[in-house]
This record gives sequence, structure tokens and C-alpha cells, in this order.
Amino acid sequence: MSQAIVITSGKGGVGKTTTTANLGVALALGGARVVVVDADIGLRNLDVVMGLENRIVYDLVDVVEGYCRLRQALIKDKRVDGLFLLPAAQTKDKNAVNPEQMKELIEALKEEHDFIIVDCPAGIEQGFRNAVSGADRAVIVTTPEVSAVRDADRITGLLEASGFEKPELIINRIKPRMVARGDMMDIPDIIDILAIDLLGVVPDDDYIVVSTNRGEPAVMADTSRAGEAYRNIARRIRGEEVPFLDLSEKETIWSRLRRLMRGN
Amino acid sequence: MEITQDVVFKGSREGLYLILNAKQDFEVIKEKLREHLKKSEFFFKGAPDVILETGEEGFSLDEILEIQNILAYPFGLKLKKVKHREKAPKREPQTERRTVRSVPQDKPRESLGSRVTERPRYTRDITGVLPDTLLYKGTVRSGQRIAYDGSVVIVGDVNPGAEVRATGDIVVMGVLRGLAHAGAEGDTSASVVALRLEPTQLRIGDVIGRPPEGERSAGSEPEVARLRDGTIVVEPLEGVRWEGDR
Ligand SMILES: Nc1ncnc2c1ncn2[C@@H]1O[C@H](COP(=O)(O)OP(=O)(O)O)[C@@H](O)[C@H]1O
Ligand SMILES: [Mg+2]
Repeated sequence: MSQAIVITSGKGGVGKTTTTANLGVALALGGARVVVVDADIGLRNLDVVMGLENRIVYDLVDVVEGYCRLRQALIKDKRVDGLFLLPAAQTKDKNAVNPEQMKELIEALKEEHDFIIVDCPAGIEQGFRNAVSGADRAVIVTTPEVSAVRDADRITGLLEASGFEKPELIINRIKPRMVARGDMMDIPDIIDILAIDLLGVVPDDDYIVVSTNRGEPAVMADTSRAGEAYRNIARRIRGEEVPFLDLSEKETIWSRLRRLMRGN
Repeated sequence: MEITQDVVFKGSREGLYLILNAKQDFEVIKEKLREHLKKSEFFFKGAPDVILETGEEGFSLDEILEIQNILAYPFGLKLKKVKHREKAPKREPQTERRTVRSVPQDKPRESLGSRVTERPRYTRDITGVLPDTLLYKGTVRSGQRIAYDGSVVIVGDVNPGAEVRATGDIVVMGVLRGLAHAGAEGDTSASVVALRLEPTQLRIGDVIGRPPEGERSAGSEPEVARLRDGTIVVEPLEGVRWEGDR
């Protein structure tokens, strides 16, 4: 059974695009047929992060408006078997597509692929409505900052109102040292507020910047800690039980986290 | 006026009119109402008061409560009045089931009941059927707002950026981290109770209180906030004395 997963956040710059690209690659490396969809119409950049920018001919809006067939717009990633990108239009605005069209598009993609990962634009307006329509599952990305968590909460509410019963959470850019010093919101605090299931924690990792500039998502490198975290998240998405990376020197946080995750 | 569409919103000076076709199947009405609200969510920002108008059929109390809940959460709209056109006198009422039951006599909500002035001959205000207390189960999240004419009980947390407003008391069976305004129409005896009281701001009547700077409430015990001599005072719920206690 194929599933469509939308990657949301509310606040911009917390790592949605990074997450979409890395999960797409990790799931495909695991043997699945995957399409990553850039729903950030007018502000596309998933193609850049994936290193596929120079191969774009048609885009999502072209498909929706009937200028090309879906297949023509899909860009095959030559490095990873079974991985495709559906790029966003750079020039048109986000009202070029409506939620019904988006839903049809996702349905069509599901016919031939196992996972459809949709990179959602920041904010809560039309672009958000488009990106979430047609998705079976919603993932919320936040960083351990009060403002990002606040927006994640807002998005959780909107997702719940749109019928997503159990949105899942990825906490990105954790800096274990800062958490240990008490300078950063810690994971139990965040889960306490958002009250949703934790799908994974991704450490802050300079390699992400390197990989973004090279157009090679971090999961392609064995040495990246963030890449390892994304590989684990991909396995959890496929239903495997994978223990959380021990990022912290402070054992107590993690034992508390495990307790929270078991729901007691 | 014949009701032709099942769900219609209309702005007016009095508030937002919600006109529902009570002849339609109630499940269909609820679904359409939800859809309508979802589509217009950003349009309704500022949470205007809603006046529900039905045709001659009317809704049962249970149905009105369901409509009220849909409006209040997650859309933050407050159902203020219900207008129900009475049947023309010569026709006999045929469907008892669908008409609105009248208020139990013990607690008529006069303050609400006296406001309707439009079309007095055809309109009977039955706002009195709304109960004193709204029970909400679940987390109230950032950007969501629950406003109620009466008291509110939340079984769940009220997060930062969320707002609960009640003309009566507010009880949070969870952590109150957002904004709570009890006694919102001036009731200075109103109180806010929470299992953990860590609000960004508290308001009781027209008094605004903020937790002391920097000090994150250490207490993990249930607390109550009330007005004492014009300031908001927070104390442990255990052993608290209410007016009328002896
Ligand atoms: N785990 C991480 N460690 C270091 N930098 C990161 C990490 N995740 C994201 N970034 C950086 O943060 C910036 C914003 O990320 P991006 O994925 O574009 O966010 P969004 O799509 O939510 O706007 C980028 O410059 C990216 O390289
Ligand atoms: Mg992005």
C-alpha cells in the first residue's frame, strides 16, 4: 500500500526541505519507489537540495494545467534507484493549484510509487492547504526553539482539524551540549507541549550545509550523524522499531524520553 | 424566506448569521458545516459571535450542542443565540422530534434571552437551552480560541498561544500555559483553576495578571487564581476556601 506523507512545520527554515530530501533518498535506498514533491510553488528549492535543478523541464503546475503528462515532469535521480522528483514551478504563484487538483495528482503518483513525500511551504495559507490535501500521513518538523514549537503547535491543531488524527514529530537541529547545559528546550519539554508521537530527532550537523551545497542529501554519506538519524526515521516510517540515537551525554534526558514515548 | 441551501453564513451588525436547513439530515448538515468552516477559516479570524437561524423545523438541544461544539472547536466561533422561526399558527406542528425543547425552569439565562429584537413575530429566542458549562476534551493549541458564555472545563492542556475565554469560571484539567480570561463580562467572583497553572497571562474580569518575570511557577500542584482586592491572587487548590464555605 502506497502512502503520501506531507512534511510541514509552520515556521520556515526549520528543515522541511532537508527532511524531505533525506527521507526520500533514505526510503529509496531501502528499496522503495519514491517521489519527492516540491509543493512550495514560487519558492522551489527541493530540486537544488537534491542536486537536480539543471534537469527540470516541466513542473507540477504544468502537470496540473495539462501542459505535459505526469511522467514527463518526473525527474529520475540517477544516483538512487527508484527515486523521482516532481519539481515546483518557480514562476507561477501558489494559487495556480487548488487542493482538489493536488489530491488528484497525489492519487495518480500513488499508483506507481510506494512513498510520496510532499515538501510543504511555510505558513498556514493556500500553499499549506494544497500540500496537505491528498496526504495520508503528516509529519511536523520543529527545531528546539520556543517560536518554532509554537508554530508546530498551531500546525498540529490545523492538521487535526483537517482530519489527520496522529501527526508525527521530527525535532531537528538538536545540539546535545546546549541541551545538557539547559540552554536549549529539551525533547521531553517539546513533546510535553505538542503531545504528539516522536518520529525522530536529528542533530545539528555542519555536514547538512556541505551536502546542501553539493546537492547530495546527507543520508548518502555514511559519516553524517544527521544522515544516520534520517536513515533511522525512514526505517520507522516503514514500520520498523528503531531505537533513538543516543545524542546526549546526559543519560537522564533519554531515559525520561523513553518513558514518555512508552506513554507513561 | 425559504431556506434553499443547507449551510449559509451571512454577516450582519449583530454578528455572523449561520442559517442551517433543519430539514436536511443532521449528519449531512454537520459535514457541510465543517467543510464550510474549514474553507473559510481565515475569513472568520477575530471570532465573531454566531447567531444560528433555522427554518421552521428547528434543532434538538443535542443537535444545537453539537453545532456549538463544531463552531467552538477548532474554529473558535461562539454561538451566541439561536433563532427559530415558529410555524405559522394555522399549521399544526407535525414533528415533535425536531423541534427545540424548552429550557428547564431552574436556570433561565436572562442576560442572553433578552437581546433579540429583529422580527419579533416570527422569532423566538431559545438561547436559554445552552448549558452553563462547556466541556471540552483535548489539547487547545496555539492559535485556537474557545469562547463561551458560561463556564468552561478543559480536559487537556491549554498551550502557549491558545486562548480560553469564559464569562464564568475556567477549569483546566491539565497544564494551563496559554491565556485564560474568566469572568470576561465583568464577573469579579470568577476563578481559574488548573492542575498546573503556568499561564502566559491570566485575566479575571477586567484585571490582567502576568506571572512574575523569569520565575517559572515551581509548583506542580493544582492551583486556583481569583481576584482579591483588585489583584489576581494564586494559591494552592488544596484547602482553598470558597465564598459560602464555612
Ligand atoms: N540538522 C541540521 N543541521 C544543520 N543545518 C541544518 C539542519 N537542518 C537544516 N539545516 C539548515 O537550515 C536551513 C533551512 O533548512 P531547510 O530544509 O531549507 O528548511 P525549510 O525547508 O523548513 O525552510 C538550511 O540552510 C539547512 O542547510
Ligand atoms: Mg523549504
